[in-house]
Amino acid sequence: MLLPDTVAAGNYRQELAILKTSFQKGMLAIFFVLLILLPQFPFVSDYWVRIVINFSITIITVVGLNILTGLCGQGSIAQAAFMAVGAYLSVILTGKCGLPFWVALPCAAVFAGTLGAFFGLSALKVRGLYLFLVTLGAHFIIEYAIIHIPGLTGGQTGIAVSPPKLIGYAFKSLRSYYYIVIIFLIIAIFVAKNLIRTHIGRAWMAIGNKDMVAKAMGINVYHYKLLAFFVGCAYAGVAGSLWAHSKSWLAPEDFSLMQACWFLGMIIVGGLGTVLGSILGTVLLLGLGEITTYAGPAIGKVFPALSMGIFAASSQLVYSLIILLFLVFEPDGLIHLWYRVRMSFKPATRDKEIT
Amino acid sequence: MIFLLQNLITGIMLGMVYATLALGFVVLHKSTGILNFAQGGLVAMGAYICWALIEQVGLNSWLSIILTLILCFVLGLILERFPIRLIAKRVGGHAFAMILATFMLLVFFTSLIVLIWGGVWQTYPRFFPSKPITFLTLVISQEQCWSAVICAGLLAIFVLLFRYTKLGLLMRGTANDLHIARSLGVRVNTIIAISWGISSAICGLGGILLGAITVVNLSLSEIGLAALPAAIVGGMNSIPGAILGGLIMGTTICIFDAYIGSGFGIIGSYVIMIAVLLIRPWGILGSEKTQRV
Repeated sequence: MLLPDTVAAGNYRQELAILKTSFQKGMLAIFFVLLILLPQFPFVSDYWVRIVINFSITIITVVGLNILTGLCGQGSIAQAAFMAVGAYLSVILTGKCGLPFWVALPCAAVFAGTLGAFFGLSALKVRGLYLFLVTLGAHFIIEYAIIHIPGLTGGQTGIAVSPPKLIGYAFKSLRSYYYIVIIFLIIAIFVAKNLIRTHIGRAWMAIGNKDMVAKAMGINVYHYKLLAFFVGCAYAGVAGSLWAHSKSWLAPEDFSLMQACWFLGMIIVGGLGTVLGSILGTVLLLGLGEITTYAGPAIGKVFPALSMGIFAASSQLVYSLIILLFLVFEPDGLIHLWYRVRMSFKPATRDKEIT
Repeated sequence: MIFLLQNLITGIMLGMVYATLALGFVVLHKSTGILNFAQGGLVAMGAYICWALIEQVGLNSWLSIILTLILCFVLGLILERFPIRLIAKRVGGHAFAMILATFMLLVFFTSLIVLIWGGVWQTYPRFFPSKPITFLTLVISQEQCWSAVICAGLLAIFVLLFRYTKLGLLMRGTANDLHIARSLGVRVNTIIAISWGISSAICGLGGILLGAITVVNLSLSEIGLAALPAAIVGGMNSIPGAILGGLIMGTTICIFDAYIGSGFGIIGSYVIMIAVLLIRPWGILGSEKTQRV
């Protein structure tokens, strides 16, 4: 995988910058304005606002997972469970303890992160495949705990959620909640981008390539592995908390093992180890899901023999096939595709290796 | 006391089925280094294929069981050919991509089952007499008893196959070192394909037995995955380990379910798996492999 940059940087400072050209800065500013104005456009229905909220929350989780799995190489399939931890903790803190949402959300993030680091302690002993199995166990244990403590979590039936408030204003409607999600999304993306370009990100990258080599280079491998678990799972906790408060009822079936599978699929489809890759992968897979749910009833009208259950199953079939095809034909993901397209438009300024 | 004994016996009989499924994991992991999560899907697939052959095609029960095993074997060969070999070629030893690929195959199979058969609960006609055996005050269901016997026979056949036949020798050689085996003239690709076939056929049989003990439904794929802790606890590269792990897991699941509460058994098995991974990552009977830098 190459680390491409078609913009030739003049100095180190420029090389490290997140936004390198004034064109990029301009595009980002226009994008932000569009994002903020989106709910105000008359043609944008609540359905679309809900879609953007779902996409943003998933992107937060996937960015965290990409730091943990794509960058640092510690596979985790418990991400949906850590999202559930964040969601339940923040709902319980706001509902039962009466804390405001703005306190519950950081609590959820820290708690999910700590729990993640606790399961990540096994990374001291095992790695690769076996670490993955530990996280699989973590998923089942957390799921069981949530379902079997009905006094706290409402068990199988779920728990009611109260909307967040800020100085007396309740974010009841979807359109007002949208702004909270967007703000957290932007913060999450910039924190991730910044973490990746500091010494912490470089240490994670080294561990992801080969942890023994990283150790030989003087990196405290266990410290950084635990930190990666903390950060990745804290992202999941934030996303879970946001997810919970975007709904009026929280039930455990939102956080299935399948969901965690799709998160992993998103980072593969998008590209391992990059923030842009996580966003691309999430948008592609979730977008396909929206298209199938949108087109399903329409096709069902034409062919009444097909039932709704078949559509749900066939969309999963298509998802899994797409991820398999990506693994076979483009294991570096959409981001690699995008870099190749971008390279082909640029005159060759420097020798760049494309693998 | 009787209650404990009763659960122990049920657990051991269930453990034989888990041991067989764990053997499927071990056979594949030994020769290819892949942990095949799709086995859960194959278990459910085998159960449904057998049901379809009996009820929808109308074949004799025993004939359809044999046909199912052959179909599962072929399915394993196809799987090895289409995604797995190509992915292995592209990403090499990147374990993460391979895990995800087998996970996606699991999703693929479960959604395929929903697509073809609607994922509804089905039951087999009885293969075995339904009257339970009563011994003193213990009640033993004949279905469980017979499936334990079949699994024990199968395990014995596989142990002998690996120890005494030429195919077993080739498979052990491939498992030991792929490159040396290849340089000695072993058709490594064929051997790996056969391992995939064997492990899928084992899954199919496990699915039929589990379906006969309980009902044929989608949750068979989760039960099939529950053999994973068994394989880990016993040791991923040891066939006696798979048997031991299966028996341990079968009894713990039964006893936890009986004493702590239904549903805790599977969780307990994962807790034990994590504990074993932390203390002795290569399993009780497995051998530690030296790690190359």
